Formats: sequence, structure tokens, C-alpha cells
Amino acid sequence: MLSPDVSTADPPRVGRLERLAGKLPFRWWMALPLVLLLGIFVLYPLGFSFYLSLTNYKLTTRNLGYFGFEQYNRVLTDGDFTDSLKITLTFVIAAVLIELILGLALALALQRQRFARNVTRALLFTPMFVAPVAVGLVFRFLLNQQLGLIPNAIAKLGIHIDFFSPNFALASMVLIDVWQWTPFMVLLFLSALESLPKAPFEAARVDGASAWLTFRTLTLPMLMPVIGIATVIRVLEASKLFEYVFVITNGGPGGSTESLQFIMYQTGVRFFRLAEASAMAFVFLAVLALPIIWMLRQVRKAEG
Amino acid sequence: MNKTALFTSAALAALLGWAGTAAADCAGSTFASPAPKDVSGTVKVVMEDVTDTDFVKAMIPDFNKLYPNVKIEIEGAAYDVIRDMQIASLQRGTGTQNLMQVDTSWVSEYDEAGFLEDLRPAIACLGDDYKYDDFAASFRKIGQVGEKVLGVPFYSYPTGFVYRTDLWDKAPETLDELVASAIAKKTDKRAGIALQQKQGFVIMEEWNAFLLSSGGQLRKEDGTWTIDTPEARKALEAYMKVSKEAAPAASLNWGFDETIRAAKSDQASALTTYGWVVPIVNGKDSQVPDKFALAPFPGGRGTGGTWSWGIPKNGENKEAAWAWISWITAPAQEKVRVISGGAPTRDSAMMDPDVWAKGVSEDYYKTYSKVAAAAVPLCLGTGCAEAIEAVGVEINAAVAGIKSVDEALAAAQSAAEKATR
Repeated sequence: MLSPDVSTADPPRVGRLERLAGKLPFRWWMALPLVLLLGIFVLYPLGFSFYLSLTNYKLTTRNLGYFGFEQYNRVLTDGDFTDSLKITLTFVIAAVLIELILGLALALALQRQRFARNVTRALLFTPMFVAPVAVGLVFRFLLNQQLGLIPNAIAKLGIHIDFFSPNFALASMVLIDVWQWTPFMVLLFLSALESLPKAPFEAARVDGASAWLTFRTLTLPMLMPVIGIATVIRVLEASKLFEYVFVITNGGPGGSTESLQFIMYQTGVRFFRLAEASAMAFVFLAVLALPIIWMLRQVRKAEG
Repeated sequence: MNKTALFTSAALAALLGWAGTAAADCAGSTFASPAPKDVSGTVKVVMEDVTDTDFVKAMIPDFNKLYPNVKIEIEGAAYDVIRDMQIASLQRGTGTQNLMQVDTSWVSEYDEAGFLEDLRPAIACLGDDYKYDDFAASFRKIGQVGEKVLGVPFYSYPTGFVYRTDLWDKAPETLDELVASAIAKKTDKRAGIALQQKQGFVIMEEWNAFLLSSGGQLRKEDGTWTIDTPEARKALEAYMKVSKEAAPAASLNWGFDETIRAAKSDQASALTTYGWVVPIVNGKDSQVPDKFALAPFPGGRGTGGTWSWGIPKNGENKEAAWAWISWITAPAQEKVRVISGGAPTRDSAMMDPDVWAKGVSEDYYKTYSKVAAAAVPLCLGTGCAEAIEAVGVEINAAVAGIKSVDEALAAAQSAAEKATR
């Protein structure tokens, strides 16, 4: 009987996969699933969308032939896009600024609250868990001149406001956004406030610093990184203004609430011009990327 | 069997086989027509949440007595999302909807994309009893592109003048008369007229009737847009005047629902809206029941519109879908639907004494027939859906005071041309 000669046996065979594995550092292999997912669900759609913006693709004609940068030319010379950009930026600046100030004020107040803390907080955070479409529908009726609680209540005080008039429609959208998303700011600021070190505040109190001085020189600087992150998140979210417009005003009156997301949806889905809608999206991405990168740098600086 | 008998049997079998094939193809149709009674399958459709959808739902049990193996699934949706849902379905290899409710301005674009089956061959095979020519000509035209029939009329929505008979001695006959009378009828508690002025297609359906009344038209037969015209200027000035002086305060964002609420709650003496709202504003839940009547839009011509039934090419169970369409739009079923309160599409239903007696009233159906005959489709041809939205933004901007009449019409003309570039 032959027995295997262990001493003369071939070294263990290294599989092709193992050889390949050896060529890349371990950390790259660990990142591979995420890279694949990003590639499939983010990079490919993004790349395809960019290619679409270089075509004249319509859902009805489906021509994927190269069209150059003509769609970008149309978007940038088209008054509708620039008007919508102004409307969106106005909305974003107004909404985020109010949410920031109101959110900070509420967070400071809640931090000092002693009675019914949990109930107050639960109630306060509720709006952000409601779908924006549902919020839009609720406000469509609340602000409605015929049925609305709010116009009728303020009319009793002798004040008559048409919330969907050309002068107020965009402000109404801001009001709705503030109602829904101020709690998000409160949540972030409250968590940050409660995790601040106590010692500097004790020292300030012992030194007799006023509340305003303490806030200005201690609380605010220490909160800056959180304020920066909260602002970036809300700017990104607010720039996606769509649902309120879709269910309440349809962009009106006279186009005064036509946000960029709304005209992109109209152009791409309702009017079938996907190529032009893609070009709009990339121009908007470029416009939005600059301030966001700047804000993130400020946050990094504030973190030291 | 002798040779003659064998030959005769073979010839008969061949003839029957040919006849069977011919029936299945139905001279060009991709599905059998009439649909065989044992056809089976599920028919899925997204329909607007309006009364006519309710009437149709109520008729499904009767349909199933004839076609027991066909299941009709109707999903209700708001107007704004119906088209989006259809587009999503039409982009797929196999659509999620195999029956579609197609609006006036969508037909040509769906045709350009090759989304819908041509139903003309199938209609031809239904025989004389179906009476396709019985559909009012203006409604029939909406579902047709060239020689093709892409949609069979389901229910209509031509614009008429809906007014309170206790407040108006007679309906206005000209646009000037409408404006003057509506302003005169306005009181502190009641508007002279409630308008659906919301931006986009909502205001367009209404303003277009003003445009037709002043002698204009949105688009010529050859596809040319005719918006920046003296007729349109007159129509827009008239619309702005009634909006400012006769409509309810703060109604710039009103859509159809708000105008109906105003009429039912005694807050408006008239509406320039779809003819089929008369039974609704006269309903038992109205504060002013049976006070409203229908008249042709001043000047005679109003905006024409129809929802049509179509079969998507990428849908399954086309015979089942056709069984439903051919049944629900047949004269007998149209009569049942109209008596329930549905909006008529067939001349025979509008002129049927039985419908007059059991439905709304003889006057109403006779007037509806006149309104239907004179109706001019809102917009036909490719680019309509976009143009209507875009022009509707500009008209609304003028009414809101954001743009002057001249600016708005010039911008509207340019926007419509852009839609068809």
C-alpha cells in the first residue's frame, strides 16, 4: 500500500481568488460591498443622468443620441429656471434662518424646563415625523380662505390675509416648513446643550457673568459645530422643496412658488423632457455644492 | 368516407379556421373583438376620484354577470397624479395598468410615443349595435389621431354656464353680458361668480372658454399657437375683470372643489364650469338644492373635454380590457350611467326621454347636447399637456397682477411654442 510522502508533497495550492485577495490591502476588500452598492445605486444613476443631460431624450421619442451641451444652454438662458432658482434660494434662506433662531431659542428654553419635560418634547417633535405631503394637505385646509381655521381666526381680530396670494404664497410655504422642521433643530441643539461641559458655565456664574454674556461667549461658540451641521442638513433638505408646492399651490399664483424641484418634476415627468430636467439637476447641484462645501469647511474650523 | 366528403370536410375546416383567425385578428386588431364571454384576467386602471368613477364602480357587478372571469380593479387617485402613474406604467416592459383613462390633451403625445392600441379595428368588429358614431362628434374627435382611435369616450366635461335660476333672469349670451351681470350679482355675502383660478391646467380650462367666447382659439388645426392675439387680450381682460369684481375674495388659488363648495353653500350665483356639475350643486347636501341650471357658454362655444378609455400596448389581458371598454361604453350601459348622474357622451343618451324622466331633467340633457355639439376641444396635438400648464401659469400671473395682459400673453405664446419646439 502506498502512503503519501508528506515531505515531498507540493506546497498547498493557492486559489485564484486568494491570489487576487492578496493583491489588494484588506481594508479595500472590506470597503468593496459599500463601493459596489454606491456604484450601483448612486454612481451609475448619476452618470446615466449626466449622459441624459447631453442628449435630447424625451419619454415619448426616446432618442439617446448625443446632443452636446444644448440642454445646459437652454436651462441657463431660460427665464423659468433662473426664476425658480431665486424662489428656491429665497425659501431656503428664509426657512433655515427662522428654524435656526427659533430652534435655538426653544432648545434653550427646554433645557431649563423642569415640569412635564418628556411630554413637551414628545409633542414638540411630532411634526417632523409626519410625511411632508400630509403636512401640505393639512395646511392647504388650515390656510384655506373658505374652510381654514387660521384665516377665520385672524379675521376675528380684523386681520384679513390671503395666504396664497402672490405676496404671501412663498411666505406660507416658509411658515409650513418652519412648523415642520424647527423641531429637528431643537432636537440637535438640545442634545448638544445637554452634553456641554458644566465647568465653564459654573465659572461664569461664579464670576457674575450675565445670561447674555454667557450665551454669547460660551454657549454659542461651543454650539457652533452643531449649528453648522444642522444648517447644512436643513439647507440640503429645504432645497428639495416640492411636496408643499405640489399639493397646495401647483407653483402659483403666477409661478411665485415654482421651486426648482417642482419645475424639474414638471419638465421631466409631466412634459417628458428628461434630458432638460437632468441638465437642470446638474446646474442646481453645482449651485448648491459651493455654499455647502464652504459651510462644511467652517464647521471643521469651528471644531478646531 | 368518400373523396367528396373528405374534400368538403377539409374545406369546411379550413374555412372555419380562417374565420376563427379573422375573428381573433378582427381585421387588424391585436385582440379579439367582440371579446369572448369566457375571457379571463384582471383589468387594472387608475381613475380620478370623481362621481363618474363611483357610477362605473357600481356597474361592475352587472359586467361580471356577462364576463364572470374578468376582475376589474379600479384605483382612485387625484387628477394630478393619474398621468404620472400612467407614465410610470407605460415605461415598463409590462405595464402595471392594462386599461387607461386618458385625458383630452394627453392623447396625441401617447400616440407619438406609441403607447396605446389603435381601437378602430376592434370597434369596427363590434357591429352596428355599438353605434360608435353616436358619441358626440366633439368628444369622439378627442380620442382620435388621424385614422386611429386611441380612446373611446368615457365621460365628458364640456364647459358651460351654470347659474342660479332664482338670481339670474336668464343666462348671459355674450361675454360682455356675462361680465356685467356677474359683477351686478355680487353682494356682501355672495359672489357673482366663483372661478377656478389656480395656476396651470385648472385656470386654462376656464379661461379657454372665455377665449372661445371672444372668438379666439388656443391652437389652429395646423398646430400653430394663437395665444398672443386681440381675441385673447379681450378674453383675458374680461376674465380679470370678473375675477376682481365678481369672484370671491382671496380665491386666486381656488380649484374645482372650492368653486363647488361656494356654489353649494350659497356663496356664488354662477360658475363657468363643467356641465356635469349641475346634479352635484343641486344635490340634497346643497344649501340651495335644485336652484342651478345649465346654459351654453356665452357666445355658444365652450371648452370641450373628454376622458377616454384606452388600452396600453404594454398591458396584459387586452381582451379582458376590451370586454370592459366595449361593455361600459355601449349605448345600454351609457344610459344606465347617465341616469345615475354621469356625464353623457352619446347623443342617444342625451336625447332619450327615458333618461330625461329618470335622470336630471329634459332641459338639462337638451342643453348638454347643445353644449357638447358646440364644444371645442381644449387642445389637440403634441405638446398640449405642457402648453396648457405653461399658458396657465401666465394667465394666472396676469390675474394675480404679477404681469400685465400684454406681458402675460406674449410669455404664454412663447411658452406654448417652446412646448412644441
